[in-house]
Amino acid sequence: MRYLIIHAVNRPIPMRYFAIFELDSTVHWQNITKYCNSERMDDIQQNWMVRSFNFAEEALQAGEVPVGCIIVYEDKIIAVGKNEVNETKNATRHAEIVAIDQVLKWSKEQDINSALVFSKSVLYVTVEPCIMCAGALRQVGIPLIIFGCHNERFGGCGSILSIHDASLESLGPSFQCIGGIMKERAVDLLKRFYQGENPNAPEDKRKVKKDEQKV
Amino acid sequence: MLKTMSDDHPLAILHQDYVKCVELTDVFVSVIQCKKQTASVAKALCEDFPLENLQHLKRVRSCNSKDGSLQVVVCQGKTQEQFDAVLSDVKYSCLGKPFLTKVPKLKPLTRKQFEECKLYWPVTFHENKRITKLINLSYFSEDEIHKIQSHMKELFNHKEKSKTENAALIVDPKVNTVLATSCDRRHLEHPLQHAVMLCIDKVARLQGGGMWDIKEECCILENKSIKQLEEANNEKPEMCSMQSAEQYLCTGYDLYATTEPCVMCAMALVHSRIGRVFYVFPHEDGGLGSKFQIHTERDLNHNFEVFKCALPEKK
Ligand SMILES: [Zn+2]
Ligand SMILES: [Zn+2]
Repeated sequence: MRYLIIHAVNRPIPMRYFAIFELDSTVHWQNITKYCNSERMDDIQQNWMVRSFNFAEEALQAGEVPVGCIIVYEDKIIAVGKNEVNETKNATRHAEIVAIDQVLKWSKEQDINSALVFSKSVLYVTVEPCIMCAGALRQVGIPLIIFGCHNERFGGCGSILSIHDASLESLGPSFQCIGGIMKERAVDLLKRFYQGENPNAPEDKRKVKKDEQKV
Repeated sequence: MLKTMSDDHPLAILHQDYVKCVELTDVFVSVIQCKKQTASVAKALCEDFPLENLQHLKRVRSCNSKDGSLQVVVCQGKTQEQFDAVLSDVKYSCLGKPFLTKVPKLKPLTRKQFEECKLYWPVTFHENKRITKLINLSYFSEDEIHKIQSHMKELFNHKEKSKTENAALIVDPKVNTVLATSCDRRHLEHPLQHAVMLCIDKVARLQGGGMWDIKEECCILENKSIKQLEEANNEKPEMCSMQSAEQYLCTGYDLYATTEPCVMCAMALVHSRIGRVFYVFPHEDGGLGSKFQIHTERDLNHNFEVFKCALPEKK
């Protein structure tokens, strides 16, 4: 199943509308990607991405790897997440997992089928999801991910493996990715983190990343 | 039927490089027409045409033919014009006309690959003892196999009791103690609560963290484990890592799973720095052997050993 993001230009700027429509199979995804990458789309994507960066900044303040995300459903943010690995002593507590937990909670409270909510949501995350999170995102069935910089260490949407579109029928549907939105800011945050280093990792686990693209 | 020890030995899931067949590449080879000059010709060729990526090849081989003639690798990746100019030197006058020959492209990593390589051209082989033992099923001692089997048995008992598809268990092998057990909850209310993810979170909880608050009906083993752990701690406190600040995530721990972990769980184990993984049933979309081999991915910051085990026998 493919989806199209529609930017309703008739709305005033702060009220920009972002909706996802199901398409029939005759529409070529290439054309849609071209549309998504047009300047108008960049503006909208940046608007949401700025919100994700608030959580990445929060993570940095808390001494966590600075990655933040939001999940947008029907033009509103229903979940947010930031990396909480050190806080929970659980290395799987990435921003995306935190946000997925919130969508499940939100859907329960609203009494809506969570699978339906996920299938019409967009995830905005400051860094390319890792292999684990890409697997998680397929399982909940999110159709579209917009991310900032690439994740050269753990990336699951093209950098190390391509989990987002690999043939993994049992995991869930593949999803589309648009990367590179505000990537400089994402890289800058990571650079600030790795210069300070993760205080909870033992000495030999610390790796000073000289390459600024590395997460 | 009589069972040998290797029947019970877990099967290591190695990097593709150790399993694959020998790849071949073309090099130019010449017959050495004057055997006396073999050493000097080989030395000269090593200087003029170093074998860069083919260091594993022996430069000279003796042919099977009756006269025992010798052949030498002239060069690789050069055109005839390029090497003709060099070979016109008088020091190469004893070389016959170069011809293309197929030789092994990569150095052999296992004895099996070494034997296969030799069918094409003599090569050097530096045996990795650990890899050989893993392949020959002589890596674990009988005692270790027994411990692995007993944890696997405990896992399957747990799976049957909880009536779930998948179950997982984390052990600290230094004190041979179960730290956490879990069963799959993905079909209950949370698509991400796979047994492995839950087990990792239980270890986090033991360390004073945790992300999911689950009141499980199948936690009986956990209390038992904590007791075991305390006992182990009293007996040999220096060995018990749980209480020490040194313990970082799941470093040095073993994970047992009934089914091969999916890609999400496989990567969760990388992030958690797991020591080893043992599972029984492969899964076609699995991340530790079937679809991907995430544990051997050289671009990742942590690799670990993965073993496929036999289904434990019922009592
Ligand atoms: Zn992640
Ligand atoms: Zn899984």
